[in-house]
Amino acid sequence: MWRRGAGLLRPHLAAAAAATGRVRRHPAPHIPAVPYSSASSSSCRQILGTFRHSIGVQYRRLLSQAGGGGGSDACWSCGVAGAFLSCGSCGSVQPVDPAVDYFQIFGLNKEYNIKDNNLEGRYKEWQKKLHPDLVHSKSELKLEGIHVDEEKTINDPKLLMEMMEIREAVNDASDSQTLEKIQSQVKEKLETWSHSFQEAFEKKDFDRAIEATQRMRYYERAVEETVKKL
Amino acid sequence: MLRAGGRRLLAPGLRRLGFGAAGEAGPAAAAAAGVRAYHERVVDHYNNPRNVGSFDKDDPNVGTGLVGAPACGDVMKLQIRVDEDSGKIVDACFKTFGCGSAIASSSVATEWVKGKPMDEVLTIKNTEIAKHLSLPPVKLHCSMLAEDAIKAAVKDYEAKKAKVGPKGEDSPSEKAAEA
Repeated sequence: MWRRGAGLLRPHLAAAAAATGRVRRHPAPHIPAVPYSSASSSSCRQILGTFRHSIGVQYRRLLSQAGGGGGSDACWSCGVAGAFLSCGSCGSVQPVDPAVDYFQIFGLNKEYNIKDNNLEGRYKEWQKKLHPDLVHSKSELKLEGIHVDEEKTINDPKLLMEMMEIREAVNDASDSQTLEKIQSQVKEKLETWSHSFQEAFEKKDFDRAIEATQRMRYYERAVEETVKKL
Repeated sequence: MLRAGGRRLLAPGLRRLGFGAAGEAGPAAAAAAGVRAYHERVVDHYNNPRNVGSFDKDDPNVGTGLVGAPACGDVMKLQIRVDEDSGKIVDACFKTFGCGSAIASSSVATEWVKGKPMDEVLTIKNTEIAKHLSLPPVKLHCSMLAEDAIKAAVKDYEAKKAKVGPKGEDSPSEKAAEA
């Protein structure tokens, strides 16, 4: 119910701010215990819901980029230890362990009746580090460092000669038996290089990872050609 | 986008498959019906690629440029035959596995380098090829491939000559070692 779309982030924030503001405006002693805690928990939930959503977005993005990982508290990007949600050293958003709860995120004791009137402040502190508007470009810039320039041409003769030969073989193949043979050979190479990519990526050997993706692209193209002819 | 374009066809196959001669309307219609309307020059070079073929890469007077666009899975081979005395490119050929724009770019490149001295062809810019073929921005890298292929071919030729030495004698053993 409090989980809404990312587009509603700002209204959410406003609502959360209004809710906490309302709570604060009432002097605590005059408010009966039950309504107070319900007001408090609803504003809290709103904040946390919004927060969880923004983290969720980042988390998914990270998952797709870093291929999971996690577990340790070393930053996935710079390797500095003690990174929680955001790396204190490089500012990269960290994958979130689903076991982490909001009490941990906000540094609160696990109790029902939260008497922390600086919750909004802490929320905003996190937003300064985690808001998608801020970290989106940052993480993309980080990735730029290892990103392949798609417009760039390559001239590795060994790789290109191999690709040329495969494509020529596909082109010259006149019967389906030959094509199937080529296809299975190329698929095998694709598999091998897919594993190489995984290994290289895990070791952060990005040069090799890039070469693997390039080879995979060429093998994929060759497979496409065999499919077209079969 | 790039992938969609890259899935087209292969110039070297055109003649072999008989498209150039018999199936004139086939590829042209395909290009016209495609998502992007190609300029007539692209269609022309695509249907009738100039100078498709191969030279012996071990011939001392041949320079081979082999380049690729990994994002599309394209590979282009452009070869030049150089007249040793004049330093002019007397013949050129290409073989490209890639999209229509890559094929047309390399076809144009072979036409443009023929009869020109090597230092002159090095000044051929991809933007000129792209302009000639009216390539859309998304296809600029195809013309880049052609420019790089020319440069690579000249470089290969020069490297060969440097290896053989100033005498200009090509020893068979050296050729065997290169191969």
